Amino acid sequence: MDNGIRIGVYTCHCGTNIAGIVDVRNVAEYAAGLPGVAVSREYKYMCSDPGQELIQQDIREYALNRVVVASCSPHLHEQTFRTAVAGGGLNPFWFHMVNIREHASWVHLDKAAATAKARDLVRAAVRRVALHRSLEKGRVKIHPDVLIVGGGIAGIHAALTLANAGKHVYLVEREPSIGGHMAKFDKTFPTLDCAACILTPKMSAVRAHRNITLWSYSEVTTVEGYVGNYQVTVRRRPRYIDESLCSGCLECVEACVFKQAKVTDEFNMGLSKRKPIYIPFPQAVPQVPVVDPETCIQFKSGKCKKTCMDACGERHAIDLEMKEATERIEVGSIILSTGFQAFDARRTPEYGYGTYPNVYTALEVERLVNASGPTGGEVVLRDGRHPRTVGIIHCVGSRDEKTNRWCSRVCCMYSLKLAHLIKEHTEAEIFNFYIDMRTPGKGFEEFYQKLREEGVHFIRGRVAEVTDWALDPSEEGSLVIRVEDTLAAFVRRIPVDMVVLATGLEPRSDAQEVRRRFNVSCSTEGFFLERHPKLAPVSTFTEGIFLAGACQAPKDIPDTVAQAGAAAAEALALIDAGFIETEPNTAYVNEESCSGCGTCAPLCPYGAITYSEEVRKAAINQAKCKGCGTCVAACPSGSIAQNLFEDDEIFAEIEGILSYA
Amino acid sequence: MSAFTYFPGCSLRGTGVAYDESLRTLLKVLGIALEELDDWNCCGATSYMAIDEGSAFVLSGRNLSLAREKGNHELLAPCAACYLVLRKTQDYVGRYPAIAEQVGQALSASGLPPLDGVRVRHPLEVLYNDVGTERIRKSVKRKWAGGKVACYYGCQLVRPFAEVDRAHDPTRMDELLRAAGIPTVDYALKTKCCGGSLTGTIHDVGVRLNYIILKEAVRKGAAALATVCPLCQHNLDVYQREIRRSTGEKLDVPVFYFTQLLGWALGSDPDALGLKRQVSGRRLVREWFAEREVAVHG
Amino acid sequence: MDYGPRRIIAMVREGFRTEALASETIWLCASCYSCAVHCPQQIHITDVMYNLKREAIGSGLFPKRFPIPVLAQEFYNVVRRRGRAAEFLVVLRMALRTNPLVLFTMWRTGFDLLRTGRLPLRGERVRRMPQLPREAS
Repeated sequence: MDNGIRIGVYTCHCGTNIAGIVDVRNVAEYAAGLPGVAVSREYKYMCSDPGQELIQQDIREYALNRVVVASCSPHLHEQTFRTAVAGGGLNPFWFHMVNIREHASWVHLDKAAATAKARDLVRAAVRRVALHRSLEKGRVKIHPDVLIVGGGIAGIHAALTLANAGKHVYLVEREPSIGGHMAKFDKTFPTLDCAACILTPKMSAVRAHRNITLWSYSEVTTVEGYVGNYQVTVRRRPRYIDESLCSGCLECVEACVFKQAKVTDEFNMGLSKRKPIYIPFPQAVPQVPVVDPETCIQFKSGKCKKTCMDACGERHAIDLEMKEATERIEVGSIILSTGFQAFDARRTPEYGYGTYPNVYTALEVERLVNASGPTGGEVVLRDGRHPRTVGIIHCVGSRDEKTNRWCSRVCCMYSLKLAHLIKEHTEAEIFNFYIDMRTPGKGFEEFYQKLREEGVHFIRGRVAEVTDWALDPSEEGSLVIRVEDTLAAFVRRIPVDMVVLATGLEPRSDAQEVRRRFNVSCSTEGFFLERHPKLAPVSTFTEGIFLAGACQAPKDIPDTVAQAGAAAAEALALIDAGFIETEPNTAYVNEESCSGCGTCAPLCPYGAITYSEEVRKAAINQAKCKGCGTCVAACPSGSIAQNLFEDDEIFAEIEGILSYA
Repeated sequence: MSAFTYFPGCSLRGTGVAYDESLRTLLKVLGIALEELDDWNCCGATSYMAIDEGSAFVLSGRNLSLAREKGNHELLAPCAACYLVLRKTQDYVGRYPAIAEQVGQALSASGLPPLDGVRVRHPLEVLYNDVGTERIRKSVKRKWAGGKVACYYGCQLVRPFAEVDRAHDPTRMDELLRAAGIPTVDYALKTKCCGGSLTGTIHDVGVRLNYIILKEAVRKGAAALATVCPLCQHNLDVYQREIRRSTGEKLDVPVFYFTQLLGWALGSDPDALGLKRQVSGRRLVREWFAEREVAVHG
Repeated sequence: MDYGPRRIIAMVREGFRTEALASETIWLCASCYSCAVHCPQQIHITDVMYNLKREAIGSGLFPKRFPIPVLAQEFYNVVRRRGRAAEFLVVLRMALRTNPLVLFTMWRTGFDLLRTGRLPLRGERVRRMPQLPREAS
């Protein structure tokens, strides 16, 4: 080439990942003969330090001004090589990467054909890279405030970590109190420490922290903007009690005209009743009651004596005229910690939940064994009896193609815990029915061993059904668990007084809605998708939005807290950098030819395009543009172009692919 | 009113003749016409399928094809085994090209049209969906004076396709009988297997399954059972004497077809419903039906 | 039942073909499809059992004096010849081939059925027999 373009081509073996199928030497020799190529080399690991130094040395020795690396996916090493090229003194975008691993060696068995494909891809890159322009990365400032959505243990831990580091946090919780599922638990496995004793200090710390703004009974409604600069609106449902005036004395609850609690108590899984004015549980944060307009007489008839307001007296904290409020905030990053929902046991009708009163879900039993639960910790059945025999059925709504395919990870261990607690409370004989016992965690297997020593029965077999069908008088009045004991190799009928269903964890029913609101992805089962399962487990594909806890996948409390800490650290890293570099592969408008048709603006998934009525031209915000190319393709007059994907670059690449040599 | 092509199946010509009689009588009262499929053949059910699956699908395929040729594509199959095999044939022909080819070739070699387009129906589902509990309620002519009835759905009608009713906890027979003023009881064994042909082969095993179902129904307060399948009715009805002898329990429970009970409530003659063909519980049958014919609903 | 369905499936998966095909278990399956709708792996176990029965007949490994495969064969033969099943004939021939003494214990049941008109001794036939599969395939 006489245009002064001097290209270096580097073909990587990637050990045997590429070289096992693609004839790397052949590709390198072929590349050496292409127009404009000054040097072509093969090397075992181009991403290694010596590999990168090789490029830099050649840039100096051969006066290279373009570089092509044929190796793995740009997802992994594009940044590595751009940095190496920049280190050699060139613009980092005078570089192009060819993926001959995922696109050739890993997906083909025919060595000759895979080698030919690699040659084609390299030829296309050589043609393209000659046309690359110099580009500069942009910078975006990061707003230091953080939004955390969901106030379970994940959200609480992330909020405290960030707040302790001096950052301001908005913690938004849908329920009247923070605490999430953990607040319902009695003990935690395998150490059996009291859940409330370890959780409530953290809840109080959230309330007291000056760097945390807690909005309970609230939901995020809209999210706009981009990393570093998100605009968020939060809908605050009226709780009819002014948080700033309420002292948390709860005299209003006492004074309610309902002397007896008559409304189903959601926090106690329907096992007890509450009043229309209530606090979900004694340690609730904020310590402010809620009025339920569905059941409050004043809301229904307008004719209540309003004894609650009398009890509140001079504080005037109760405001039955309270309206929904909207808050608008700016944050730089967001942590989603929206948690899970328990599998609905009615979806496995063979286990009789909803048919037989003495069939319980694990969460119900958590409340039953809890000292602050509906029975004060006494395990009493719905028919008033104390169980003498209890069956715990594992994997209900887990590992089942008919419902949820995945292992919910925590059920084996919480079943062991419940077995221990029920035995401790009742001295009942307890049977666990499992498919496989999964105890991979610190102290978990030891806990399993302890339970076996306590005399709990472990029967390997997936239970066929729970039935009230009595074969003989000894079974009458019991629930009969029918199961093949696969170790003893026969079918058993085990009559019990109480059945506990170890229901699995699944994505919340509105996960898809939330996913769209925050522009993150879901994996096939519906949990939020992390950017990389190993190397970016708390990041999402949207910059500045992080994941913590069971909204990403089922996990136990230690893992949730670890992940929440990691998400907080990722947010901190972003905040403390102060700015973020943006890729220059953005789209831009050629104002001269833009006809002002406005086609592009509504198509942009990131809201980066503004259309000015005054000048009748479109403009693209370079900070918001993600370089997806939708507007480029849609523009009827061809007035939108994209850096690094200019027409001449793409055509050269296509010609290179198509010109067989 | 509507009309169906009728596929009685072999059992309704033998042990299940009362099902045939009561179904014809009941549907006549409701103004539903039946025209029997001419020259129908065995559906290829259970025992046949255990020997030769391909030919079993060809057998069912011929029946479906005959129904299609006839013009009325609503094919009513009261026997649960026939119903299932006809449905399974349609399902597998649609799902597996090899089966579709074998059946298609056999039909065209016999000069028969392809089997698609036929809708296989079961009386339970027709009475529930097409007639409806409301019409049954309004058509009742006799007041029930018998005991409570346990509805027994058996296996192949509700599994594996679960189109007639829910697979785990079906209720439609209960709803129909209650609409006719007949009280029913709930019990856990309404879809447990009756043993099928095991009563004829490994007799003890089959009869034990019958015993378990009958005993549990009685324990839950049933004085009689209602069935939707000729094999279920046969098994539950004819071995009670043996059960009494081997267990020493006083079990003498009439086992009806649900069509007999609905037909009686809607005013049909007991003989036209095959009510003289019961083996067990004959005393109760006489008591409940014959003597109360005068008690016309007001 | 000599093995249980779970063990039969494990045996088939691990290649214990003879043992699985010679078992009585596969014949005890009355095709109630309960397993098929309950299986957490959504395996069509009833179809698996049908397949094993057919393979057992084809390979001759089925238990010879066990009444269920004999009944199935007789049922099949009657349908092959007549186009429709005749319960009386099928049961009679099965008993003769396995244990004729059974007929003595069954006489009361037979009498009950005869008395109530539920046991026709003459079976029905399909007119257009050439339209049906005939030779064993």
